[in-house]
Amino acid sequence: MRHIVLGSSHYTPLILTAIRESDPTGIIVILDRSRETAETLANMVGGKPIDGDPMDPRTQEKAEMEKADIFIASSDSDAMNIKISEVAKKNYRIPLVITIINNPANIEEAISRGADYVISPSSPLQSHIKAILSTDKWVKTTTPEFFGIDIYLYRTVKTSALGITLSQLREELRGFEAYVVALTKTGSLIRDPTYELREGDVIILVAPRGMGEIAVEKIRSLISRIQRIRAEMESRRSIYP
Amino acid sequence: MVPHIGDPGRLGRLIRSISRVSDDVEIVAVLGTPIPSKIRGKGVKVIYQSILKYPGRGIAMRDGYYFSDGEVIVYIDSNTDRAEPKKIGELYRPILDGYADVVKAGFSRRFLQIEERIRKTLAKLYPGLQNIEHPLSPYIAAKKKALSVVEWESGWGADIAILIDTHVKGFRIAEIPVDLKERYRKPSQIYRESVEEIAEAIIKRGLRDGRISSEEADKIYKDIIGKLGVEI
Repeated sequence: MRHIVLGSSHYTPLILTAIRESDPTGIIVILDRSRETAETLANMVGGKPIDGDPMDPRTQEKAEMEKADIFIASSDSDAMNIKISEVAKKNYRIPLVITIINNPANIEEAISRGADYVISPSSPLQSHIKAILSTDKWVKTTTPEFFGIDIYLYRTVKTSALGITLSQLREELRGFEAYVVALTKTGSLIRDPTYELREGDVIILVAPRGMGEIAVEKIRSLISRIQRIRAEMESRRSIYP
Repeated sequence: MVPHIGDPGRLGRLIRSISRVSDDVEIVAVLGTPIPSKIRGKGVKVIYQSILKYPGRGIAMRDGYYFSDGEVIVYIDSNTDRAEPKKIGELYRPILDGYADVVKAGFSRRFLQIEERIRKTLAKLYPGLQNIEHPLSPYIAAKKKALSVVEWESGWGADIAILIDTHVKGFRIAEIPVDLKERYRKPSQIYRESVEEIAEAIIKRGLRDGRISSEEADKIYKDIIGKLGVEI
């Protein structure tokens, strides 16, 4: 296989290592504006350095873009990565074009310009922070676009967990394009649908992309219904001790 | 092109002005924060700043340069009070008329306090730039080809980097007396780190181009930074 990797961002050495490990005999062309940088990176993986302005057709010719099987745009400028990926796809018809996006806000633009895959290495950061800080909030995890799924996680707290079973959750989602599984606090898969969730257990909701939020809303509504009923029962108990 | 963080109202006004400059103008907004979709809907190309560090002026300017399809690029500062279409037109006119490749205009209110010493340093290192009155001005028009030689600085050193790098590569620099700010405000607070970025951008280039030695670099650094009244 013939790979072209553009740019010298923080991610480039990791990408080069990954390519070499998965394709030990493949040709790797490293394209960068700086000769020194291109050579240094190329030496890491026995690649071929090409220097020049990546948007200049003469540089593209030197890199023999028309022969590439895989093109990965990995500079630290999203604008550059998006534009050169568009050129790689539309002008050179490279079969597999991967665009690295530094700022997740640019993902949609990269997809619309024709990249086959868009990778945003910093995207998981936000969901990780939310997952750490949120105990009673649903967290949407980051999955690569091409999987076409939404995954939401919820760590149960005392008020939401009491008495709710996996079968109740699944019943609530009947007719919806979504499915839930759950793990105990210690990470074991909960197989028994009548198991009552406890504080710290994790609910995992999987849905086709774009369908997850509606399913999450259904479960939120189930939890609040149960909490309301429970509160009413508690108040009756306090009136009629 | 509008390296922009913050007030979407001002951005909307700027975009309206820029869109009246000419029928074939392409507007690229480089954003640090999201903007309302109604602004996006006005034929504005939007790209978010790749690396969200502050100051990221150079990152935003470079992103805009890469993202644009135009042959002549005009940087309109996001703090512009009122960019009259006529004035923006004047900014790139010398390029269209064929007597400049890079045009600077206005002056930097942010760095007014250090402008004179930057000007003197620059004249010493690069005599060809001695006639530039406002080397730190944020309004620039340039041929895309000229910008292709710039070694971009990520922060406040970006404007001076464009000036020096294009000059060194033989592109013609012009300066015009057009100011795109309507009102004069008092110079804003100047931060040592910001001035350091500018000083470093100049010194790095002076060393690169063989204009100064390391000893001279130290002296220049002290000349620029030392007079801010902050102990080095």
